[in-house]
Amino acid sequence: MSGSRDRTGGSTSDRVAGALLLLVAALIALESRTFTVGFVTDPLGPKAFPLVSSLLIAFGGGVLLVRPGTGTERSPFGRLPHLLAASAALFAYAMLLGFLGFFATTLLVINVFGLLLGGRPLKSVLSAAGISAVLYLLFFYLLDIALPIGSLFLRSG
Amino acid sequence: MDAIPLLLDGFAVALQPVNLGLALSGVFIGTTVGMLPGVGPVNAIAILLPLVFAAGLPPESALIFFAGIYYGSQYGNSISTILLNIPGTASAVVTGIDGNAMTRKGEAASALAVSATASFVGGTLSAFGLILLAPALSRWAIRFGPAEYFALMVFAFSALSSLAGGSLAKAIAATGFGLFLASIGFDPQSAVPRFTFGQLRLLDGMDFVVVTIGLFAISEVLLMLEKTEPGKESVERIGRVVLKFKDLAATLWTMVRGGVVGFFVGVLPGAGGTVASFVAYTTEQRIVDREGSFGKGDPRGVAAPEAANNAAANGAMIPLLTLGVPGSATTAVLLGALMGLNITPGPLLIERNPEVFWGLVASMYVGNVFLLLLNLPLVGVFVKVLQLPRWILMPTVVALSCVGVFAVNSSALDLVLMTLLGVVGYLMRKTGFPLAPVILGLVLGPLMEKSLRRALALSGGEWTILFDSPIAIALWILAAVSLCAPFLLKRRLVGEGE
Repeated sequence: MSGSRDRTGGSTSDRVAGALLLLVAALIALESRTFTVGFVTDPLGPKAFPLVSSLLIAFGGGVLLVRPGTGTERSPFGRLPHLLAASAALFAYAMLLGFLGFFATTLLVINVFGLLLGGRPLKSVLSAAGISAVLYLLFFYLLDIALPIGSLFLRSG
Repeated sequence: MDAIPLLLDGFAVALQPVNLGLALSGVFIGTTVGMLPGVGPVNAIAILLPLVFAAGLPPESALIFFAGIYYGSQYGNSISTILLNIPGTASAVVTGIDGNAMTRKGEAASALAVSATASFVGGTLSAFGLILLAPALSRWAIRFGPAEYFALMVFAFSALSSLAGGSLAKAIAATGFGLFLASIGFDPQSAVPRFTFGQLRLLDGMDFVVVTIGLFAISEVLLMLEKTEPGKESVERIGRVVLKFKDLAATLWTMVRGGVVGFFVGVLPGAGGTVASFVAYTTEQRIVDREGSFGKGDPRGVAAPEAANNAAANGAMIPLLTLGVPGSATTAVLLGALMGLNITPGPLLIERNPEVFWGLVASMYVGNVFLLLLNLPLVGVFVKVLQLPRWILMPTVVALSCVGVFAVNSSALDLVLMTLLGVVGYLMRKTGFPLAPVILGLVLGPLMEKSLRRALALSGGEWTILFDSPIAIALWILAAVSLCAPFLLKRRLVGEGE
């Protein structure tokens, strides 16, 4: 069971991940150095723990860089456009929620995901409208949480 | 035994109409999400957290609900595995060996009945184990000082990193990432802001709900985008699901053994349902399989892992409730939930919040009865849910995640962070990094830092305090052994193979 494992498939992604982790660890360590207090609170202070976390990340990253591709299985990346569209839709949700309000933005984001997952346009719109309405009623009436109406509608109304 | 009056008090909590309803809906939701590939108990609990917080449920009710989802999902998992050979999560993979073979022989109804009964036996047995073990463990852990706590948490991390399988380097990096996320915000001891980059919202730290939903739910949806919709799975009509006496007689002791094995494996940090079901299956095979019928549709091959993974789900509650140190992603999410409800799990929990502990134990009996009564007749309904198209299911998960995350702080920044963490979680899954250590790091990080700094403040900066007591030394040794275990085991396996 030792030699038969595919050691080439994941080694590139492991090297890239290792290098990125080292970079992240360095940034964390650099930023941690600025956490200083004028007076002594405890022997360790606020910077020790973040430094430990950066050491752990650096250790993992270093091992991956030197000895990549051992252990777990990986799957190849696929459908990059889908991924980008989905992340963009989620960002748009965060940005537009205040402006367009809960109902319109939720409708929009659910629709994007519905279409990306292979739903037919009309069916996807209908189910998105249904889900948004149910969620709105649930949060507003049952849980008493005000969801944004949207500044667009407030101004015109 | 002084446990009986306490357990009766627990039943008084569990039998309140609200809690009965929550246990029922918990096991129902759990069964449903356990079946659906890509939802699972962690995502379900993470997505429902904001709703539960908003509804203002008392902690014992929230825990009864979430625990119901957790052990209900272990059963739901087996339905999709037995009928379609699609395990919802890894802990049902072993069930599929004999379960799906039984389905192919036309014995699906029998397999489902055995699985439901085994879940019931495993669940109730392990609830009994919880009564025996948890109070004793917390009486012992009450003497833990900050140094012992720190060592215990290091042990939890090393056990989770090595027992979960996969690359140790990746697990260690993931732990570091979780600890980093935990350190964002005001340092409670010196009031220095850390990694906030001038964002006021970040002074309170990363919200647990945001991280969990982003890392688990959003990344799962992003992964789903890559898979094309499979053709409609055809499920043959299943007859009435009733347990036949013949099956019960053949599997009862298997269920009991599976439950006991599962419970003890579940108590170990990092092991959980997957290891439990595997160990129970192989043990049972060694003990009873004389004709070599395991793997060819033997009901005992369904009973052993099913009893074990349900028992493991309950066993995993022990380190969570008595030590405050969870051993898996799901229990780490439960810890975060309890903290959000102002309950700090740990040795004092059973004493200070008896209604939470005993209410939970009693609700496990109630919930397991519900599972048995509900699921045998309703298997057909659950199978319908399984055929729900992905383009309705996954967008619903996204919408619930977005609204839930927004509802926590009414902050758009939280939604951005959720998206970023979703992409990070997706990349981690794609490259084989485990997610559980991140969540464990996030919930344990603050406690770990506090106990380390308190220990060093007590000793005036002397690091030797960390190794000062026998308990602490034992925990350090356990941590070291669990880190080395995968290497030793691998060497032995390789040695045997050559």
